[in-house]
Amino acid sequence: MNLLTKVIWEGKSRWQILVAGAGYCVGLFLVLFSLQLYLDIESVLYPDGNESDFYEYLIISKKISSFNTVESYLLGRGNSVLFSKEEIEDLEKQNFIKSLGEFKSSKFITILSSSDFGFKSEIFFESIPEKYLEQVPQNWSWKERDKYIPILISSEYLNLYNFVYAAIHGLPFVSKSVLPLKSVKIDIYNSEDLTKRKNFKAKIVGVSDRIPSILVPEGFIDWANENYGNVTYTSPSRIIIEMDRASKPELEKFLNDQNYMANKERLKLSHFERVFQIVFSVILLVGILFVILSFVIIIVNFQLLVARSNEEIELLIKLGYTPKMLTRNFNIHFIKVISLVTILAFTFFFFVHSMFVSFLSNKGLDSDLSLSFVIVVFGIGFFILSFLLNWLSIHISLKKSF
Amino acid sequence: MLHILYGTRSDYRGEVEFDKNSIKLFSINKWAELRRNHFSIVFQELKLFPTLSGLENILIKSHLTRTTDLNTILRMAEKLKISEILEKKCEKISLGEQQRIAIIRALAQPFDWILLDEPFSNLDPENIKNASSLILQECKKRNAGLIITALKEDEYFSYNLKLIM
Repeated sequence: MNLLTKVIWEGKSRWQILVAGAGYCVGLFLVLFSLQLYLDIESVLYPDGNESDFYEYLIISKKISSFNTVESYLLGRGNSVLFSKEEIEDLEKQNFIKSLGEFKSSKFITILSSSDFGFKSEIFFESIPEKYLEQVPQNWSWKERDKYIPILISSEYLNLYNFVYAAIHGLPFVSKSVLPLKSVKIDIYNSEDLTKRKNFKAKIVGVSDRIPSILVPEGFIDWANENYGNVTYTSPSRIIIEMDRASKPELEKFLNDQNYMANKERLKLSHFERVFQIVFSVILLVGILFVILSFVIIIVNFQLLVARSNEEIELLIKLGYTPKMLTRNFNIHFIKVISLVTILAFTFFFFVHSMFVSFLSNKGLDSDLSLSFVIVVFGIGFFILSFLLNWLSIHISLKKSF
Repeated sequence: MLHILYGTRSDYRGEVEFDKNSIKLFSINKWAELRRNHFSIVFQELKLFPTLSGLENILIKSHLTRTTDLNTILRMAEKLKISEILEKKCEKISLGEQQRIAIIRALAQPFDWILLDEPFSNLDPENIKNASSLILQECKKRNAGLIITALKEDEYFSYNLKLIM
């Protein structure tokens, strides 16, 4: 043993430091675990990492109630579910809405047929301004005389086709990448004047996670509505909004007040996320409290040790030791204590985390639950901070003793 | 007086200068440097660490400069007849033995001046003779000066100045 260590440390009880070290260990574990838990849950909720997308864009429409069902029946039009100009202006005024885009819908009859997909069906088209697409496909435009109409479908529809329709009829599955190779025919006609009709070739150029619809370029909708449509109203029934992520609660309140609805699941998830965030914050807070408390106890103990070694320190100085040498000795011990508890906390954390991961995968929640780089950086940062604080504290209390 | 010269007491009037600088202005690091390389001392109250062994008490000092190797220390201990008690804790050995440990500790470093504060108060004449000759030998080796305080007049060294108070 180093002689300096022997002089300073021998015969002095260290159990307070050990207890405080254990507290630090538990606290650090709680902090690490709650952080990792947070990241894990985020990765389970948003496997593609496009978490912002999840909330930033919401599609809102009016609620369907028995009242507007009757109204639309009496008036023969879906007017009551359309957004009026005033209502859109009101939406634009809300400060939690960054921007909004109107859906345009087809006012003509559309038949899609495809031998490749093995079905024929009446469908509808919608369009939205390009900036609301998560990814604008190449050649996303349409002019008269173009060879085909580009179509973007919801990824949900592709899933429905693959897992329900194709599965029932024994048709081959279709992946995203082969979608554009499938031939699709589109017939459109005016519902009141059957002579007004035209057919097109179409290509499904991609899928969208964000928009649950069948989208075509705005140019096509405008052109076809004008030439083949027979409904005169132009108000939208659905609106996509880009919102401020922080103001979910205000948005929800606004939607309720106005009797509007949004993609419900997403808002429900936001509820869940909020509850979860509270739980997570509480664990984190308890962990931080533990760490701070134990850290203070450790520092106080080191100061106490300096005070109790006053005589020895005085003599060491008389023999020609510098305060720096003594500080270094104290620091080495501090580092040993902190390293030990940090390593213990991390080991414990790895262990519990791997149990947690296997628990989740048993529940069928498979996700990429790798250890986060953030956690490691956080642990190292914590370590360095602790060291600096203790160095300062020892330095100050040593200075006092000469 | 030796405490003043060694910088451990500052409750005095007047001025003490070292290399023309007032020692009152020396920093703690400056004193540490002086005590490692220029001044050595045998305290009247010895000031050993009771929980360390005799050898450890010497090494904790000599490790600071590493100019005196273990063999030299062992030879000095042999000369002062304390080889057997080097491994014993200082709280377990006699005052006379402790005093000899303190003397060797003071010699196990470089110095220009060695300050001896009643260094032989617990030693018998034979041990005094051995100790003083060892001190003299080490001083000559370093071309160093010696300042000693004692209660009785003595002839351990050939002094060139005696202050009688």
